[in-house]
Amino acid sequence: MRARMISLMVLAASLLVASQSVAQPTGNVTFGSQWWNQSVDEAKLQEFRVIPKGGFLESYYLTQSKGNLSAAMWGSNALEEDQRHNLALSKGLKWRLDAEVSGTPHIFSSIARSPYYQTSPGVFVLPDSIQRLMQQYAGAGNSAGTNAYTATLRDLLNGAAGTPLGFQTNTQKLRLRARQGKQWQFDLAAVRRDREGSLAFGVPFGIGSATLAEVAAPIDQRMVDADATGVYVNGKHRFMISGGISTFENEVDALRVDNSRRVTDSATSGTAVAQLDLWPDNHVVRGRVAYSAQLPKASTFTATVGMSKAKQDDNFLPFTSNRLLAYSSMDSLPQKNVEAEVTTIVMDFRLTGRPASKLYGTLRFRSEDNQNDTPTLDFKGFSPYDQGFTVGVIENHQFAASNTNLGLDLDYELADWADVSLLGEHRTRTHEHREVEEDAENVFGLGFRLRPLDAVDFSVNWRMGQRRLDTFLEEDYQNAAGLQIEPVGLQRYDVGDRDQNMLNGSLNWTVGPRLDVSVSSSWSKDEYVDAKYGLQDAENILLFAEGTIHASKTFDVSGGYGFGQVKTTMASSEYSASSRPDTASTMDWWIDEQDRNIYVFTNAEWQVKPKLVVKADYTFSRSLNDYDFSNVTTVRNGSRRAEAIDVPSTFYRSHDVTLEARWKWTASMDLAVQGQYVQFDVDDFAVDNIPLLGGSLSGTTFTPNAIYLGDSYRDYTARRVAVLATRRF
Amino acid sequence: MRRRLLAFAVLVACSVFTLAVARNSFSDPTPQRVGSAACKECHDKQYQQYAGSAHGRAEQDAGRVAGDPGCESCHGPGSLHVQADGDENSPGFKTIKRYAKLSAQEANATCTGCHKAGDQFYWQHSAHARKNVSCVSCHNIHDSKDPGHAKLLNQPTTTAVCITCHKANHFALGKTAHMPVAEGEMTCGDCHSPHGSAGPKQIRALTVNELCLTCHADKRGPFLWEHAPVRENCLNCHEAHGSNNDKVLAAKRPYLCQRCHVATRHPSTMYDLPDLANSSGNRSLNRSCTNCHPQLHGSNHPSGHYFTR
Repeated sequence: MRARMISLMVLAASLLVASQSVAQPTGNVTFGSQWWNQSVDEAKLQEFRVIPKGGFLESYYLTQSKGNLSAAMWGSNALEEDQRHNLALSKGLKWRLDAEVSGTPHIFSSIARSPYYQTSPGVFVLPDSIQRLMQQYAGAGNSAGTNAYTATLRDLLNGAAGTPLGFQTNTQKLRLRARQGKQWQFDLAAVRRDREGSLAFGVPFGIGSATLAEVAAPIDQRMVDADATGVYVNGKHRFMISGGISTFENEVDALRVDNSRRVTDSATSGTAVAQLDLWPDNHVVRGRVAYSAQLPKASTFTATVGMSKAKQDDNFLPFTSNRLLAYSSMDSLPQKNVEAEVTTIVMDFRLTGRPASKLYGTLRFRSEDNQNDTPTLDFKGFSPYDQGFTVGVIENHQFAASNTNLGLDLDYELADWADVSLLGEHRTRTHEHREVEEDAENVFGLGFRLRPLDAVDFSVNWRMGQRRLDTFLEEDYQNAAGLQIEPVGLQRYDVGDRDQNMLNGSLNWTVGPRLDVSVSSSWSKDEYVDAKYGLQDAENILLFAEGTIHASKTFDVSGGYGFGQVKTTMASSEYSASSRPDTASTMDWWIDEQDRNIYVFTNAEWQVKPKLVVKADYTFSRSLNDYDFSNVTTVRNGSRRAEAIDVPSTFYRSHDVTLEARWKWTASMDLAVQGQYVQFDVDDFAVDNIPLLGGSLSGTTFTPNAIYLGDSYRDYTARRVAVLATRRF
Repeated sequence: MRRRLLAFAVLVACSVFTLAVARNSFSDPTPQRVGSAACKECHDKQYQQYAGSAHGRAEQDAGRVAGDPGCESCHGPGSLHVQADGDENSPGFKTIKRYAKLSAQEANATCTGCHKAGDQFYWQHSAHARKNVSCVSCHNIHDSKDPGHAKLLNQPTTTAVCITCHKANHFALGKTAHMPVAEGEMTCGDCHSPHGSAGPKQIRALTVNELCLTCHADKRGPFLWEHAPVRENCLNCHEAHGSNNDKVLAAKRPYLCQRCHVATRHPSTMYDLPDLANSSGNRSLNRSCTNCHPQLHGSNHPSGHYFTR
C-alpha cells in the first residue's frame, strides 16, 4: 500500500512539475484537521470508512492539458484505509487511460476476543495444558466436571486477547480505451482486488456435537478480472465482441483449530485438532458477442449471446482429522479433488421501436442456462463432528437452473399529457435436483402516467404475476431409505406456487418557483398459495415523501420522510425423529414478523452573507422488528411448555447531525468548520451483548456450549469537529 | 439577331433564377455553422469546461468521430443565433438547441448519435429510454459536479443522481445493513449501468450471480456440495440494497432458514424465547444457523454436505 502511495505521490509531483512547463494546472484541494471521540468502542461508526484524527487530505483535483494531451488526477482521503485516487490520461480521442487505486475497509468489531492464538494463517492453538485439563474434566462425566470446565474456560476467556474483526479490500483498476478510427473502439479493463483481514467463523465441532467454537478466520484473498471489448460501428450496424477472465486465489484454504475439550483424539469424543475447508480457488473464462441494427420505424434490434465457464479443482481435505476414525486418510476419498465446472449461457434478444407515432414498445426474449458439469462422486460416508463416521454412499448433486423470459412492453401516448403502458411477460424456469423441476409464471402490468399540468407528473402502475409449478417431486423430500425428511406441505418460496401483486404510484409536483414536492408509494404482496409450510406471504409497504423549499435567494431547505413495513407469515412444524413424517397439525407453529422502518432526512443551506454559507444535515433512521410466535399444540415437543413465547423485538436507531459553516476567504480559498454528532442505539437479542462462553438472556443462564468472539453491537454516541480549507487554483 | 435574342433570353433566365434563389434564401434563412470559437465569445465559462472534456478533445481529433464535432454538433448551426447578438426576441436567437427545452427523445437522439458503443450499446432498450429519461436529466456537460468531471454528472456522485428518482433505494441504503454506498465506497453505478445492459435490472453483468461474485468471488465455487438457492440467485436470501438483518439478509436467522427447512433435524424447532435460554440458544444467538453451518454458500470438504465445514 505504501509503495502505491509513493508511486502516486511521484506521479502527482511529476504532473505538477510538468505543468509548470506547459500550462498552469487547474483544480482544487481540500485539507484540514479534525478531532472526534466515541463513547463506546463500537465498530459501526467506521464500518466502511476511516475517520482520522489530526490532519487529513479530504479531496483533491488536478487537471491540465496541452494540445490534444490532457491529464486529470483526483482523489479523496489520501493515506487513509478508505483512500481513493484516480488518474485519467488522454491523447485526443485516440487513447484514454484510466487508473484507480482505492481501499475499502469493512470493520465488523473492535471488541471481539478469542482465547486462541494463531501460530500461522488459519492455525489456531490453545495451550496444551488447558486442553489436557479440559479432557480430564470431560472424563469426569458429571456436573462437577462440567462446572470445572465452565469456570476454567471462563477464566481463560476473561483474560483473552482482543482480536480485530474486519477486512480491508484494496482495489486497483486499469482501463485503456482506444478509438482507432471512426468505426472501431477498443476497451481493455483489468481489476485486481486484494482482501485481507479476518472474519468470524463458526467451527461446529471440538467441544462436542451440540457445541461450537468461533475463531477469527484469516482472510487473504486475491481477485483478478480482465476483459477486452471491441466495438465496430458501420452505419446502422453495430457489433461487439468481448472476452475476459476472472480468478480467485485464497492463500488460506483451511482452518485448523485446537479442540478446547481434548488434547488427544478420541473415536467417540472428538478430535484434538479440527479441520475446516475454506473457500477454494476458482477461475472463470467468459465471452460475449452482440449485434445491433437500426431498423425502420425508429426501431433497434439487438442480439446478445454470452457464455462463461467457472472451474474449481482445489484438493480435498480428508473426511476427518481424527486419526482414530476409519476413513481419516486421503486414500478413503474417491478422488483427490473434484473438477467442478459450471457453464452459463445467456441469450438476449430485444426489438425496440415505434410502430406508430404514438406507440413505443419492446419485444424481448431472454434465456439463461446454468449447466452444472461437476462430476458425481460417490463418498463412503461422512464424519459430521469428528466423533464418528457415518457409513453410506453419499453423492454430490449438480444443482443447476435455467430460465427464459418472453416479454412485451408497450407505451401509448393517449394525449400530450397522458400515457398508458402495458406489460406482458411469460417466464419459465427449470431447477435440476430440486423438488420442483419446472415452473412457469405469467405477469401482466398496467400503468398510467399523467401530466395534467406542466409542473405535475403523476404515475401509477399495477402488476400481477402467477407462478405455478409443473410437478412436485415428493421423493425429493425423502432420504435414501425412503424416510420423509421434509413434510409434503412444504413449498419453498423460491420455487413454490406464488401469486404476486404490486401497486406503486408517484407524484412529482413543482408547486411554484419556491416549492417542489414528490411523493412515492408502493405496495406489494407475495402469497404462496399452496404452501402449508414455509413462507406463507410477504407484504411490503413503502411511503416516501420529499420536498424542497427555496425560501429565498439565500435559503433552501429540503427534507424527506420514509416509512416502510414488511410483514411476513411463516409456518412450520416441530418434528422428532420418531414422529417423522408427522403431518399432525397439533405440532404446527407460526411466526408473524413485522419489520417497520422510518427514515427522515433534512438539510438546509443558508447564505448568511455573500461570503458565508451555513449548512445543516440531519438523518434519522429507526427499525423495529416484532416476532409474534404462535402454536396450537398443548404439549410441544419435549413437553417444555404449552404456548409459544415471543422473542424480544429488535430495534435499531440512529441520529446523525452535521453542521457546517463555510467562509469564502479569498477568490481561491474557502475555510470551513464542521461539527457532527452521531447516536446509535441497538436492542437485538441475537447480536447485542453476545456472551463469550455460552451465555444468558433475560437473567437465565444456560449451558455454556459455545465459545463466541463477543463481537456485539453496542449503543454509542460520537462527536466530531473538523476545520477544513479548500484551495482552488 | 437570333443569337443576340438567345443570349438575352439566357441572361434573363439566369437573372430570374438567381433572383428567385436569392429571394428564397432571404425569406427562409438557414443557419450555418460558425465554429466553436464564435460560441466562446459569449459562452466562455461553458466553453472552458467543454474544451477540457472528451467533447473538446473530439473536436481536436475530429478524424476519429463521425460528423463534424464542435459546439454546433450538439447545439446545431449557430449563425443566426450569433447574428441575433443576444437579442432573445430575435427569431434567430432561438434557432440554437437548448437542451432544457428539448424533449427527452430529441435530446437523447443528439447524444446517442455519437455515444452508441460502450454502455450505450443497449441504450435504446433501457428502462431509462423507455421512461423518457433525458441524458441531461443526469449529465451536465458544461457544469458537471462529479470530482474529476469524468462522467459529467449534474450531482457530485452517481448515487446522488440515482436517488433523485429511485426513492425506495435511497430508503434502503439507510438501513442498518447496507452496501457501503452512503459512505461513498461504492456507487449505484458499480452494479447497475444507467445506460442499459444485457442483464436484468440493467446490471453490469449477464446474470445476478455473476455480478455479485465479481466482488464476492470466494462464494463462486463451483463447490462439491452446493446449496441450490445460492446457485440459482443470491437474491433468494439477500436484499442487495439494504436490510435490517446481518449480511443484508431478507429476514433474521434462523427464521429465514426455517422458511425452507422444516423437518430435517433441528430446523423444525420453534426457537421462541425459552429456546434462547437452553441448549438451543446457539441456534438463535449470534450468527444463528451459520454458527454451525458457516459454509452454506457451498462446501468443498468431503464431510461438508451439511455445510458445516
